[in-house]
Amino acid sequence: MIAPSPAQSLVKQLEQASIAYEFIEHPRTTTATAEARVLGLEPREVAKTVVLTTPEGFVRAALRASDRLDFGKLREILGTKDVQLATEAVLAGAYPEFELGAVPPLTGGDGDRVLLDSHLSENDWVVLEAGTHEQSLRLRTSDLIELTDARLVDLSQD
Amino acid sequence: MTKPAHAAEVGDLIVITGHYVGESERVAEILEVVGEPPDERYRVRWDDGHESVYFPGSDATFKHSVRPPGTRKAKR
Repeated sequence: MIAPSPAQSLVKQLEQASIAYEFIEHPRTTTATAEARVLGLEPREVAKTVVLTTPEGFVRAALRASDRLDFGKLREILGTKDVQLATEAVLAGAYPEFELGAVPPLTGGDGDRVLLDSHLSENDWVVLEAGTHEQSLRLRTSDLIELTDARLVDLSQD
Repeated sequence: MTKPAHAAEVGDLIVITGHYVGESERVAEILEVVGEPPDERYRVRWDDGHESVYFPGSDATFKHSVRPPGTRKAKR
């Protein structure tokens, strides 16, 4: 069958929304750039998701594997200086359905805000981890934005 | 984003059209039909050689392959 949990909940949500996706299995990788490499893709075609803590809850920021998060821009966008990377302990508690370091920008969590770096929208399709380090999803960037109600912003270092 | 009605089989092609001028289409050959109607997914091989499981959206069209009589593969 298609996929064991945790990817199962992801694809279920996509199918319920009639959103096209590709489900890709691959050797285990622990970085988005390595994920791109094993899939034969450019790092700009793969998204990495960074989970942040703020006084108003979690924020999931997705940007290209080749880019680095700019915390200065992020704090300005979020309107607070109190923005931190979520620790592994926090991630394990907040997203038990996903492997550590493989939280995708959609599903899981509870009302997380989602920010997508505007460079991601330069590609029609985006690949992201499906909640594990051995499975990926490819979907239209426009569908990802719609599904997550994401804000499209400039998050990456110049 | 409604799901298209279709009845694809192994060997058929899936063509995903671009959403705007200049976006190239993607083509995949169906290797296996997974699941039952109306929730089929397809294990496919894309034109760049990679394989994946694909769940189609409204931008996907199916092109039935032409085979000699009696050679159509059974749906798994």
